Amino acid sequence: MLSTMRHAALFIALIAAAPMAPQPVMAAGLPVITMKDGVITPARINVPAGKTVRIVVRNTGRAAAEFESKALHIERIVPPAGQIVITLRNPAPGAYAFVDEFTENRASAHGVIIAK
Amino acid sequence: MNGQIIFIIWRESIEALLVIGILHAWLKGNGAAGGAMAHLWGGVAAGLALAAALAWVMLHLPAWLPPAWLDHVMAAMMLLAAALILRMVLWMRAHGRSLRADMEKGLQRAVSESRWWGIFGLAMLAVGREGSETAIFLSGILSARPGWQAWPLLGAMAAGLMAAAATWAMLQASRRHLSWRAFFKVSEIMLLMLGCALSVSAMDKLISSGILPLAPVLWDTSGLLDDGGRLGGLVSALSGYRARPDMIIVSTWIAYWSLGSGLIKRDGRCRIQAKSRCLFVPRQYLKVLARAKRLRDEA
Repeated sequence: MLSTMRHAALFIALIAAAPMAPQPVMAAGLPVITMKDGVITPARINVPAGKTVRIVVRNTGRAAAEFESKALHIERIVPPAGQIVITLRNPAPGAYAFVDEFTENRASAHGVIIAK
Repeated sequence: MNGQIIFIIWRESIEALLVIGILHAWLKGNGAAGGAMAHLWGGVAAGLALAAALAWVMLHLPAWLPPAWLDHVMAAMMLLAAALILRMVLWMRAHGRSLRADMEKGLQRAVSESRWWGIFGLAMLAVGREGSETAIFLSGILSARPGWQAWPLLGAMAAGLMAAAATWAMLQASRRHLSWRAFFKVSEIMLLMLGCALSVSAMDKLISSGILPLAPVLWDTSGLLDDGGRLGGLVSALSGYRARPDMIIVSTWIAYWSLGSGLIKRDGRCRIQAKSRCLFVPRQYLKVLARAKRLRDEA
């Protein structure tokens, strides 16, 4: 049992030893999707197809959100009052649905990214 | 809203519940005590710590970490878990009948020490991965509604935990009420499908981080079962189903199931008990070994 705990501690230490250098997020000028406690604005956003596109996902709500898109293969936590940047690498023309998974039962929590 | 809380707690815990519930029922049905169970529960405890650590990282460090770092950690965890599941299924097959007898004879000790660590690792990864999201979800809702307003939410959380506990009880009861053979078959299929789901999710993370490309969709079955909905989401989390799969996802399905069925077929040729390492022994030697064993037993 003792060695069990030692192994666990080691694993957690490895996980925690993340590179600690701050990563400046170049968010200026990027399109923004805002999530606010189950309401996504805009629910529809256009991006150019065939290019690498970066989008800021901002959470202005009080609860954490989870940006999930099976079509884009993205599942990321967006902390309250925080933001993440998602990257679409050369999306083919089409519609890519996404949702705030934590409030997926609400229609307002669903959105779509249109690449054309 | 409260229904959503109950559902999310149940859904996020179902994967860990399945893995740990099946291992627990299986070890118990085999009369395994001590070492194996300690490793299982040790893994659960380590998983809770891992979940808390991951949740903290996701909430407080996303802007400080390289964007792909979390994706890579998650992908590594999921691939490791899928490999452990395959290993566990093979091990359960090899020892399905003999574990109890072997343990009573003390034969099991040497063979199993390393396998117990597999149990530990699998329990830890199952709890840690989904647990971190559940922790964030719950802390988010609670912090959003301070004071007395949080009471109905606590009630919903309790209901979610009760739904999880009921699932656990059902699993344990099914061991007693189903025949051992049926329980074994069903749990084996569920574990294998979970392994597929984990492999597919790992590929998602690698696409999201940019290691694998975003490929065009091959077909669309979202009219039949939409993986963005509640039922479809649950099915996809437990089996690796995708309504609009691309080349990478389809290749992952094919690779996973050919690897899994290949390993199982190989293992099926080996039915001599207590020879867990005879996975790679050709069939003709097995007859010789069996005869030798019979002669030894008679002597």
